[in-house]
Amino acid sequence: MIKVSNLTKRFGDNVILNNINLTVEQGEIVSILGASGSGKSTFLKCINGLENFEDGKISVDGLSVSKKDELRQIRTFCSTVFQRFNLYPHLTVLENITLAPIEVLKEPINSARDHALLLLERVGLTEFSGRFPATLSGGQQQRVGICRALAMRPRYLLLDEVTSSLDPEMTGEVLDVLADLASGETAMLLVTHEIGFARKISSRIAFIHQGILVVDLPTKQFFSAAGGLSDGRVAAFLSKMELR
Amino acid sequence: MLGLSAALLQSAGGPVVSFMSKAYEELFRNIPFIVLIFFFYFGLPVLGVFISPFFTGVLALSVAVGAYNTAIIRAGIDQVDKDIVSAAVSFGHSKYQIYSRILLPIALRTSIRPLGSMFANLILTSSILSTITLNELTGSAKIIASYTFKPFEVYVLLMLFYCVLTYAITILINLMHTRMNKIMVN
Repeated sequence: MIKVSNLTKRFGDNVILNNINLTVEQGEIVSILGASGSGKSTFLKCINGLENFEDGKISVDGLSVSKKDELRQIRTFCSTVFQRFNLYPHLTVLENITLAPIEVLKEPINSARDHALLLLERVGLTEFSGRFPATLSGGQQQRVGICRALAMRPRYLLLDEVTSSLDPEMTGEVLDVLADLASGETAMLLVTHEIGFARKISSRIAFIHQGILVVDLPTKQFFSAAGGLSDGRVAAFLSKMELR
Repeated sequence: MLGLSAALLQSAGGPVVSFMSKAYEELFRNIPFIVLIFFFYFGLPVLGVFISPFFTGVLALSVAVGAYNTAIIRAGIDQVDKDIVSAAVSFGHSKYQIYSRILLPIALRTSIRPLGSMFANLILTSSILSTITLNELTGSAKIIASYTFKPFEVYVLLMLFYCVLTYAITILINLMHTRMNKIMVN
């Protein structure tokens, strides 16, 4: 379980995240919506210690993000897929995927390789295993990014606007891969602008507005008039996104 | 090697180590090479430290070129996309793994060209060592010129020799650069 309690994050006098509480159970899929600059991505970065925070507590399966040793453990089973892919440019697709399992999990090279090839097959990129990231399209790179995260056999997957830097036609291929994953046991916490997609796969949706988590509801209720839409900020955001 | 270690200390070390490395870099980048070798060769013996001309040359060149290489490699490390490093951090890689598997391999690819010109520069700078009786290329040419009384021919040949040598190095470095960076771009 990811448990965030009273999380507050400031940059100087700016309060980026204000007293946020959220839990994600094992196997659950939770989407975080919110306007650009609302602090969604920062929130995700706090969970695996890429950003530190001033107040509050975050624990993943009982381990505290704020303790160095425990954070190291958390990172072995809580993987991130990044907005801009962030693949290692000097390594092949296969090496990108096997690096962390081999070096961090100390998995034998052959088994890491086999697992990577299995994942690549699942996302339809088997024949690209020897290529370098720069020779792939954005959608292909992001699918490799997903494989890299899955290679750790994570209990939790953090997805940080994974389709934001993709062309619309490539967004589809990445979302398909994620929807396919959603049936598995991995819990997912996704920050996204793809409202339709969030609605389709999430069990719960949280809405962050100016650093405050204003709504956290099961998906159905979030989109119902009596539930999420009764909050003016949510309604305004949704209607704005639908206009695009 | 000196440049690499100093750059690593500067980038990965604590504040004290990093400051010392920075001090080294700034100090030796701002001293003329000829003054440096005069100090090693003529200055240090006053303190009872005697170093042979050859060792003075090796030492002074290493220290001076190392200072420049420090700057080059550190710039290479700084240039690596921070997001790529974040990715490696997020997967739980140790600092050592991040430097050895991610940062340095990328940084050395971008630094290979400036490091190469430093190397060419090192060959040219080594000619100054003839002033402390070290008979490297220039020193030997000086001796030959004074034996044969044909300074014009000897020095023309010497110039050609340096030119061809460093030019060959430049070509080699460019080849290495292209080879190493082919994979990083489309």
